[in-house]
Amino acid sequence: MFAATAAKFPSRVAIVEPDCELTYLQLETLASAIASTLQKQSITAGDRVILLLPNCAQFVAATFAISKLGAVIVPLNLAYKADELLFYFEDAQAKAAVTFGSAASVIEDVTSRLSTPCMLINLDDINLLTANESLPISTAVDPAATALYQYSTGSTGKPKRVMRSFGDLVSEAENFRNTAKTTEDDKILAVAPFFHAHGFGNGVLAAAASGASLVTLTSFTRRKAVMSVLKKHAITIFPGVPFMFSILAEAPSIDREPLPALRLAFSAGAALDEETYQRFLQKYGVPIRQLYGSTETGAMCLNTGATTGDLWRSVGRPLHNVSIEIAGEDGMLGPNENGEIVVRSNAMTSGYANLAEATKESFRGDQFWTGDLGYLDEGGHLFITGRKKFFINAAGNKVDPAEIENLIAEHPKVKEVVVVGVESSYGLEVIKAVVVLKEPCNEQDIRDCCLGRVADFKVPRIVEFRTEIPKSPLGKVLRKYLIEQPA
Amino acid sequence: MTDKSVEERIKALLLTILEGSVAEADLGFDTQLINGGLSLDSMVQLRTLNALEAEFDIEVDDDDIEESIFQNIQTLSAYVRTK
Repeated sequence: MFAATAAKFPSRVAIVEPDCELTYLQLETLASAIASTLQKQSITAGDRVILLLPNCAQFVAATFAISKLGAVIVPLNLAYKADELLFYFEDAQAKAAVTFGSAASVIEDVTSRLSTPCMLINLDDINLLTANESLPISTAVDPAATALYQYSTGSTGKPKRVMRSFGDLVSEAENFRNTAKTTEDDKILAVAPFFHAHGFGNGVLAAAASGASLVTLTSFTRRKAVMSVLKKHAITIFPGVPFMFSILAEAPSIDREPLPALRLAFSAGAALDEETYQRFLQKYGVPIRQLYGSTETGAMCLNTGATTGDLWRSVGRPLHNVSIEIAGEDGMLGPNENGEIVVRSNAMTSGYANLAEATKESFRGDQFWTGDLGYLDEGGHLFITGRKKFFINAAGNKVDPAEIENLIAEHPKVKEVVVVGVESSYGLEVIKAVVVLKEPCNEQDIRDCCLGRVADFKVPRIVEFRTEIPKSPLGKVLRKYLIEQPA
Repeated sequence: MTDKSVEERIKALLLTILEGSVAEADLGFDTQLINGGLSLDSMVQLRTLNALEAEFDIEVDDDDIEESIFQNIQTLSAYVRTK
């Protein structure tokens, strides 16, 4: 797909970075250079290659370099600490890891602790101008072969590995292109992280399928830089998360100014709140639409229609080649009836690696049972109302409470711990640890169990000490009583 | 505006942004906000910048914002006084 786009639009701009631009031809050349480098290190079809890179041209080029070889892309969060990375490196049985800059030393630490060898490919050390002089690379890959590992938040303390094929990814990209009507004239603001399903599918793949330009920002930390990019580059598509839109909507120092080029701004990862929707609309004249997707399926729904009335709350209708049904206890439900969202898509995975029980629960026939709750209105617009599966949505990052509980439980003064999400503004949650102690200790002692061991967004903001954890007669933790402060 | 009022006002802003997740007594002027301590994430930091602009009627240049400014309420106050 990428090679075809590069051949069709060689001179069009593929990537815009703050200090340089690459055409599709240049990006293809860079991808070939990285592929040659990997090939010289004996990376072949089926090998897993970890990507630890920010949103940048090298991420996109490395993605398509790995694909050229028929190898498997494993993009990971740069915020992960060494102990977290170790799990992913081991689980993926990675043969190589591609990075640059300061992350290289972190990877060296991780790879030194692995039982099987994993090569560090530091792009800083490679002369990409000469690396292309190598063996010819076969571009014929099996559409059914695995192309991508991504991880879905589990409920057992360990992430679930989702494997998607080359065919799945091409379908996802085409489904999005046909629904969002993306073309080579679009300019996509690529600030949603590429390692995540949202940024990968609706940024990297979306551009590759249409010949659009990706205007990259490595992070959302400078408000005016984001605004400047939106205006300077006449961005037409902005895939974001609620907090990005809320920051821009609220920033007093950013002037109210229409963004006429921005034809499609959409939010994913968490529910958009009404205040952000209204303020962004008033300030910039652009309605924020909502997209519904998952690691297992890629994008499922996108609201490209009306946002009047209550429709702004909807994630829209299913993408091309995606169908949605709502399941109740006794079968499928009709319009406006709330139940579990069940999806069928030509882009979705068929199960989790090495997790037969979880696969059986979520994948039935050719459908994926999302664990999310919602309803379809008479017009087929999907509204999300909640979730059955238990995880915490911290700033759009899904956090498995069991992972944090396991870390805190290691503290010798902790008798019992339960981690929950407490609703916060903008439809997000903050992480709260409820702790029963054997011996006295303070809140910071509890946070210190996590600091440096997991990404900062997983560290509990609230620590509450209780004398006991409320449980049902059968011993099940009554989490709803932990979310509120005790009377 | 007295020096003390800047610290107090920033503390009040932070307590609002943190939505009761940190007790008033636990947020001192020297409590570490990032790199340990409360470990405020980038989302809270950006909300704090928005709140500082609204509260003090200043314009924060994002390029000014380094880790040293977000160390604690005292360092944030010192920054506000320069504006």
